[in-house]
Amino acid sequence: MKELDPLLHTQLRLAIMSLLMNVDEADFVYLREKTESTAGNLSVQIDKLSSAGYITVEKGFLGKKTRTVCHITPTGRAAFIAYVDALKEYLNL
Amino acid sequence: MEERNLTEKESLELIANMISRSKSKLEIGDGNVFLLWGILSVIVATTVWVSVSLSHNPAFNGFWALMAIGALFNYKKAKEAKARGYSSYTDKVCSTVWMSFGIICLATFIICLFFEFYAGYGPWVLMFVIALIGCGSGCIATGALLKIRTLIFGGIFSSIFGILLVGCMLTNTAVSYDGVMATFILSFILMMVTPGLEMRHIAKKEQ
Repeated sequence: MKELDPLLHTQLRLAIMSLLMNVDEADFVYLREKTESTAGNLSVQIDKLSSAGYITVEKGFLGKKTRTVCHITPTGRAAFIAYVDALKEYLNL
Repeated sequence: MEERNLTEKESLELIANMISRSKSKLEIGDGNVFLLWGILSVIVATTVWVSVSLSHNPAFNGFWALMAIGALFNYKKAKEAKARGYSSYTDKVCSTVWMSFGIICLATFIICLFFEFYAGYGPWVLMFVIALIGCGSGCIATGALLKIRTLIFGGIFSSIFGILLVGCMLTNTAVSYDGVMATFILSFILMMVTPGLEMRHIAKKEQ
């Protein structure tokens, strides 16, 4: 049986990846609202995903405010698909 | 949301929940971009048509420059889209299609201007052809992505009219100015105004 990717098998990181799988890009505020998480926790988990090469993070400006935009990478997409496949095996789906 | 490990069942539920949250109910948009460009094209074309017909002065074709107003609206819309916090794949494809069309229009304008000064006559009818075929193709692509049939039908009508116009140009077939202008206006009503109204209706229903 395939092993579940430990990087994805936690609530917030999996939520971030699920959201990013469905959009081309999403900013920090959008991710915080959708995951109902705190800014600090979200920031830490985004860094972990980014360090693993699952997502890319771009920092820019929207007017005078800073804007952090996240994209899923091909590695992240492949890891997510493998994770879902493994889940299906565990649940006999 | 906290940072904790999940059971397999919880994981699957979380994925389904996040996918449903990220689905934009208004992915189709409110249709305002199509409505604005459609209405602007109809108003400008009617103004040019009436002015040129009444005065017989081709200088009134300069009113076409009013189409640039639409670019300001697009700039405002692009800023609003950024503030929304996310961009879907559909948004990306649509924006690439329409940005490419904008670049082609601008390039055609510059080419016509070049011929105006270089050859003493600018082939401005090319702008008509590009507007009809280019915009028609953009509407077909957007309609296919968003599943809006009126956009596809309007785009097909406009593209066919554009091709007919090219056929007339290549065969030196005389065309009536009134006929061309009336069909041009009808094309924009069919490919932009009608779908824009339909998209607005869908967006209102989903809200």
